[in-house]
Amino acid sequence: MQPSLMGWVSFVVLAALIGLTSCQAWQATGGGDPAVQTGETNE
Amino acid sequence: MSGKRFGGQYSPGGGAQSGTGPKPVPPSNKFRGQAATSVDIRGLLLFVLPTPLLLGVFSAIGGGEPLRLIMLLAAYGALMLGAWLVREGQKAHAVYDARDIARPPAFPRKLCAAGLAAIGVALASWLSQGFGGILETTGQMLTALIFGAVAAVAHVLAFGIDPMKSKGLDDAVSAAELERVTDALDKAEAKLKSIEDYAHKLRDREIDERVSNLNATVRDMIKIVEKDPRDLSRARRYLGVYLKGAEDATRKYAENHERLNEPKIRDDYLALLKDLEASFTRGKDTLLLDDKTDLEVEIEVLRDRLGQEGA
Repeated sequence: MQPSLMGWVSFVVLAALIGLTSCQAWQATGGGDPAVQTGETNE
Repeated sequence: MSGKRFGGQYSPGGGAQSGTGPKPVPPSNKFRGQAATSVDIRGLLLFVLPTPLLLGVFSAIGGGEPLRLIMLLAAYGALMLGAWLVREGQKAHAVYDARDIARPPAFPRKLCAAGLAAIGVALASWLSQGFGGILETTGQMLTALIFGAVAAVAHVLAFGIDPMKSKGLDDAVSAAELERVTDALDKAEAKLKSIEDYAHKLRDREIDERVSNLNATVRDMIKIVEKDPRDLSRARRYLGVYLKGAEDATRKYAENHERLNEPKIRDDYLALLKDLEASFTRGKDTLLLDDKTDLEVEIEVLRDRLGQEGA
């Protein structure tokens, strides 16, 4: 069964929620930030 | 001008051409009676999207944050389990749609997947807002809950919910009868699957073809019973006893053929499959004939009555 337009729009919302919150949760651990990974500080 | 088909003694059916081997299996559509399965790209994407959480797990290990690590693992686990459940739910829904009479799936997989997606998104949202400050700030928790709720609603709208009602139930078929018929058909399908699996492991093209032919014929019979569940009493011997016999024979042959390595056993097994297929074809034809006779009698009675009322 092919999904309807509503199905696709809902899926995009769901995918954005999962993808973005996952990325932000990763960033909150310092992931993807070179400064955190190498231990550099502003000082 | 006619060409000569390429092949030799050792090609599939080659022995038959030289008149020494068994007769070649007539070609048939091995997918007859089986519903096509479709791959939903959305279901696959659900496995990929939470990957940053897994990267976060490694960062948390590196940063020495066990509580955050547990939370990240929980969020990732919930989203992956949900992705798997929604795929299983889609498969169960496809089986339900393919049947004329069916019970709803015993376990509501899609709804549980929506719940798990909500839990995963809420946890990920909570973690993304600065772990540690959350206990003081109820606003952050509220945001996480709202994100989770939106994810659940979006999941239900995107993938739908599991079938909740039995179908094929009408005046002619009681609920108990429906239960009995779906039970018998489920068991028959399970036996077919088991026979296919054993036959496939043998890596023998001819046996594979024969089993496919037999199973296609059995599936035709299952379809007839689905159309008219009253036929089950007449088909029970075939779908129960004969199919169980075919399953046992296939299992024993698969387990022992390498050890025994006797061509006669293989020939006997092939002959059994051929006999079973012929028997199922006869049984199927009998069911169709009975249905045709019932219909003819019904039409005759109705015409007689119309004739009398018109007179």
